[in-house]
Amino acid sequence: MTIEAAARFVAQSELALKATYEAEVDAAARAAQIAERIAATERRCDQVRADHAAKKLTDVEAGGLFALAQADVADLAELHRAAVELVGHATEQTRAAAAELSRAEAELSRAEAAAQFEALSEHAAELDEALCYCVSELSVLARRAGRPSNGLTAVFRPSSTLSAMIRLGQIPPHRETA
Amino acid sequence: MLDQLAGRLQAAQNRLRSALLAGQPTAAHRQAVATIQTDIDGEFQRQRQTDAERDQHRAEATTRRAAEIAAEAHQRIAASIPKAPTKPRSTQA
Repeated sequence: MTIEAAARFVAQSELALKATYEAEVDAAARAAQIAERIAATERRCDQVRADHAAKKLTDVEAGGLFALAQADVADLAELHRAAVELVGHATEQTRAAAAELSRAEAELSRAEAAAQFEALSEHAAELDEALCYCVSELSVLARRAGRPSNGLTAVFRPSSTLSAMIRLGQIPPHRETA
Repeated sequence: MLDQLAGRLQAAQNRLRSALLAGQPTAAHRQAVATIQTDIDGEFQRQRQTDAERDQHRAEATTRRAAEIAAEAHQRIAASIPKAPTKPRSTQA
């Protein structure tokens, strides 16, 4: 995947995660509102009991009001159950969107590493050419200076790391740069 | 909004049906049904336009964000590659 395609994947995933998260927050807020309505209705039931106990309501009046309030609580409980189910669904959607964003970021990381490999390969070729050029120049200068110039080691001693790399195909150990 | 209009259309159609069955004049009821249907069509169109605008806005936001992310990635790559060695002047005649 190219960097541009991976970047698009990340951008789309970020947007999708934002949308699912907002939907989850909305669903949770709606469920909380219904829970508050249930609590308020239960307080209404308590008030009816208190008013009946204080003889402010007759038995019939209290019975009627209490039955209505209880019916409201039952209906609200059903709405709350459905709302909580929606919250669960929204939470799953958010988790899935977060997982998708992780995948997208992993793809971007891979694409970036591939592009960085290409760029550093070009740099390695430049260094190769520069080193060869320098050794060639060293040979010319050694002759002019009357110094020995027969063979590579007369003009340039490669490091043991470079020698091992060229002669034995050994990859030099990786050093973390600060 | 569409739910309300659907409810109103149902009620108007029921009144038209009742008038038909009762042999009463139906012109006003038919007009009411037609008006509500026009309102429903208008609402559908408005929602389609809103959805299209929202989708376009999201597509533009995605394109901008993708360009930003790609530019940051390219900058990181460029920053990680050392400068090419400068070639000394050749001493060879």
